[in-house]
Amino acid sequence: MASSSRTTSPTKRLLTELQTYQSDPNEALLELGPVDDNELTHWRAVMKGVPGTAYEGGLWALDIQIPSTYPLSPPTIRFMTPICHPNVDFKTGEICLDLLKTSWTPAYTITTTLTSIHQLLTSAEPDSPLNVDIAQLFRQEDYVGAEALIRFYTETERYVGRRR
Amino acid sequence: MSEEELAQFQKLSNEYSADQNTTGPYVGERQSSSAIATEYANADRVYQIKTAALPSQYAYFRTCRGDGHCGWRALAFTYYEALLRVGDVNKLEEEEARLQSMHNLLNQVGFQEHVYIDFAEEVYMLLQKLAQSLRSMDGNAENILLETFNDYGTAMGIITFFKLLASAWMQCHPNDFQPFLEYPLKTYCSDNIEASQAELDHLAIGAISNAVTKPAGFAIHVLYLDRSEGTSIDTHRFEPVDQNGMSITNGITMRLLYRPGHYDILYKAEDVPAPIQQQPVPAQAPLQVALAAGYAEEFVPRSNNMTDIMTMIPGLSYTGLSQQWPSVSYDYDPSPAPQPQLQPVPTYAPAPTPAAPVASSHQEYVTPVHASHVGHAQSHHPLRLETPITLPIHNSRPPPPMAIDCPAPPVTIEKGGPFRPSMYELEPGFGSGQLHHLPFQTSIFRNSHYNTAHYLNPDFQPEEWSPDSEYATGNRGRLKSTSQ
Repeated sequence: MASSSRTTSPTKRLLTELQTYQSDPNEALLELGPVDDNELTHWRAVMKGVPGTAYEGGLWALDIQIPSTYPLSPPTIRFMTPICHPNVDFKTGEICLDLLKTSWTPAYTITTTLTSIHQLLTSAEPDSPLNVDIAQLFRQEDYVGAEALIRFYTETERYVGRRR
Repeated sequence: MSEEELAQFQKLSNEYSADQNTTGPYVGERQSSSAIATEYANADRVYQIKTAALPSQYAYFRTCRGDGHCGWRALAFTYYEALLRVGDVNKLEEEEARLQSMHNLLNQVGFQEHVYIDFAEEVYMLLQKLAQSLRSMDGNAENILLETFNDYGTAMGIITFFKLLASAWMQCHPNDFQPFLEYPLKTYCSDNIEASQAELDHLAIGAISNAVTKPAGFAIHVLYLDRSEGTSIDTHRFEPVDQNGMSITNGITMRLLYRPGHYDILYKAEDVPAPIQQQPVPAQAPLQVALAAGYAEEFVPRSNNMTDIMTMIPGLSYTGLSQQWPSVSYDYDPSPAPQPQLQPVPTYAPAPTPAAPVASSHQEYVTPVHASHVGHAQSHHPLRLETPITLPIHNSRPPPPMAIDCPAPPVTIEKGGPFRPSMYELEPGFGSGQLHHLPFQTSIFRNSHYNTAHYLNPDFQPEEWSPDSEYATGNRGRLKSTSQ
């Protein structure tokens, strides 16, 4: 009786978010939206690198799975394009960010979450690494080596639209 | 207690709630709080002592599922429940308007309207449903509230709005909150207030009380049931005050029971409106009479502070008695006017006339001589609490005739007056509001100069025999019982 349509599916909220994004795009993103029009709970984003950092010029595709309990539960976001970052698993693209887990709040949206991921690029936490190799370089304060490694992958793994 | 011990207890508490409270309804039915004492009967002494004293002060409690949202759920639920206790449609509309005006606050700290509006609408929708129910007087408001809070999505929407309000309030009043924090308020709010998984904490209750409940005139009492020193449960109060620090509550208090890591809802007996607990009353009524009479005879005078000691004597516990409290006196609401949905009239319906044969004979006997011997019916039981105790058995013949016959204005029975102390005086103000409207409680009173019918009373007014009122009361009683 008490359950309105909104509470059983996140559709209305997602449509609002999509509209808001289209009228007010996110600087950090190249594109954002559902993978196809029939499935509103599966989105894809393409994130831009941060100018002036080792990630400059990079492009990464991200896969966004939205649970039916959204926005009470966070979306599951992972990098499809490999990225060299201490808090991102290079193979699976899993992101270690408290916002995607314990500190998720329903007041976040998909775009604000992606903004936070974008900020993570420049504020890595090498102490809780998913990518041990690059984290080790950071911990040894080998910033030249770290930057070179990141630049290498940013260049070679750059997202180039739908491949093949 | 060291930090490690504390952490250990927190851990135990978390495990406890993990296996005990993760099933069942999100918000349970109201039940007798003696269940809490029973639950802790085998716990260590601190808990035993503290919980043994609980049912005498707080007659009922309501569980919240311990899924990490229990505190917020309890807070939001009791807020709505407090509004229902006001029982005024205007109040509900007023609150909706006031909460809507607080969107400014949310916007100010950077929440986007299109994000929070869905949650806000859940809050308003429930207010509107409750208002609708009050307006139509279908008596269903409590059920709507309970059902809504047992719908996970809707309840979480409401909780989320409260969280955002608390967060916005804290960020707009940094001076009130930042001093308690070691890191930036903004970070604290997003991690510990807004976050889906964040549990209710003390600062959040403070924020909600300032933002929502104090302006509405409600007090929040949080009872801390933990293993700290002492024999009673500590109460933290968040009460509305004016500029001079004087309490300006409208008499409605939201009560939360906090056990480390978990919140439930508590009620004093007078918090609970009459009709709700009517169903179990008739069956218990005859039992009440017997109990009450027994206490009148075996009465042991003792002071209030004896209670804790008494509970330590093996086998002597008044929790058993307290279980009977639900049917004591609260089914009679002498001032139903401000609470239109709480008309006492329907409460007589479920009382089957043959269920209380004793009561009927009482009435037959008393009614004809009512005017001249008003106190007679009570004279069997000279204790001041007798009247409330016997009230349930009057269900078949409602009590109002007594008030009608009374030539005196309502008299307040003063504590510490010429009466012997009673164990029922455990709680100051217990039953206040009901008792005061029932004059001629005892034969002692009737024969004292406090009675306006006594020639020494300054407002002396002799008792007058009025045949009209006598027959009227007889008819009235019969009409009441037959018209149902």
